[in-house]
Amino acid sequence: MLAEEVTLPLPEIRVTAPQPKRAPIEVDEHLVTSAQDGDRAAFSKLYESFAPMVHGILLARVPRDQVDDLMQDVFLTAMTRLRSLRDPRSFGSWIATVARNRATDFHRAPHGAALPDHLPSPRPIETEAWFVMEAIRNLPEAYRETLVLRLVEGMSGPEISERTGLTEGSVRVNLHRGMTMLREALSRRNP
Amino acid sequence: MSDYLWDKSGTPDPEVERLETLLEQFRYRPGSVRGPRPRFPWRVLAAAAALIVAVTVWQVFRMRSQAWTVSLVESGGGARSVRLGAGQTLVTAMGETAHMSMPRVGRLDVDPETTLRVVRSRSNEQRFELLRGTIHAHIGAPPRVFVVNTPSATATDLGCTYTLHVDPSGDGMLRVTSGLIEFDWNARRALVPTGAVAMTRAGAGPGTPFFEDAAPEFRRALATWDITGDDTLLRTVLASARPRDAVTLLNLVQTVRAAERGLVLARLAQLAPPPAGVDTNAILAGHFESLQPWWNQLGLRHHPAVRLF
Repeated sequence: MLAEEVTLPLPEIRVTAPQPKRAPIEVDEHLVTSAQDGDRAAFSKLYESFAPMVHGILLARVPRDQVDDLMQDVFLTAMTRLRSLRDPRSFGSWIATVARNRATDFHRAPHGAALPDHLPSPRPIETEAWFVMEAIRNLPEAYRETLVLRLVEGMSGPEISERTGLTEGSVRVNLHRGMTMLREALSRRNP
Repeated sequence: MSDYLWDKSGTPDPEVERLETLLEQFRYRPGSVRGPRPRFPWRVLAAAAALIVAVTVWQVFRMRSQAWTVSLVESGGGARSVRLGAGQTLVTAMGETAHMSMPRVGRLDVDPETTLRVVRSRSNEQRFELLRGTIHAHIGAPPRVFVVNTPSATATDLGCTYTLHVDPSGDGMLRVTSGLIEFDWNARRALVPTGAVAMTRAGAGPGTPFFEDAAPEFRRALATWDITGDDTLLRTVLASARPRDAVTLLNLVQTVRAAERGLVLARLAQLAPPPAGVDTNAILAGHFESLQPWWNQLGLRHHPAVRLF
């Protein structure tokens, strides 16, 4: 008896763009030590390596048009205070704290900038993107930072853990709960 | 939680993928933000640029302040003011005079038909070139700051007032009213004190300084000896010298041949006995710095602190 031919459904295979490899943490330790000794090139590499994380942390907390300036402030602060960092392995969590503190300072300071009289009409994709960003910004702090690093900056959970110093468990929880809350927020807009 | 949300492995979550695509526009892009490293050098560069600008402005201001103020008096009586800086030349016409001044340096009165070029005009060096004509200098600058080149000698001010003339052939004459002038050309050097005169000839350099009230035979013999070096004329000079002419002999000690140096020194000692500290053996050996106390003793109104040698 011939066996009945069975066509098994093939799993759908999607090709995604390869994610850029970030420098391993061992390299960062060496760079931090060199940067503490005044090596500008080493600090420049640290900047390249941690800029996305700092950008994400700030983007989760301050208006987008302020992020670039505050990024510079964060790295300038880091550069001037780097010698005070005792454990080079904790550079990521240290600069993440610097970034969070800078965002907090930003909100404490008075901002009297007035809106321009005429605002350009946003493109549709920007409208939805801005809505999603606002939805993320309204999430609890721990969730929005992790979600921005994952969805905007394209970092994986392990990378977020490695860079920010958060445990993988915390990042997993933040991603899971944050994504659930974001879905709920988005579904309320588009039921 | 799907693996895709955690580490981007496994089957992508369509909703997560959509959000990634949607939010990618907010992602950090290298170069979109100026890092602190380029920003910091810009500050340093800006500071350096500001410093350069400040120094340049200061230099321009300083150069301008180092320009001489010139008042030109024309033959008709009219006057006009100009400024004369390094590289510029003043030419006075027949019947035209000029009065130049610079604070902390002094004043120059320029006779008609004079060509005077400013070679350098700095706080530590005011160097002119007198190509022809006559200038009357009244200098208050520190010694060796004010210098005038002529075709046959260079006059270096050691604190004085003097007249310097150059004729079209390049010969010249220096007359010192007060103070002391160092007049030199190649290896020939003369010290011209108050009241003394020195001639200078193109191709030969400065002659031996003398006082214009010296005996006629002294002056004639000296002028000829300056050209020929005839030792007979030297003996005439020594024989007709007065005590006041010791200044001429102090110069001669340095210009005569070594074999004649003792002769001049002996006559000099008769006219103006050497002060304590003068080492005549050193002078005979050509160490002329030992003449400094002798110059100081003659009281020629130069400042004793000025090093003559």
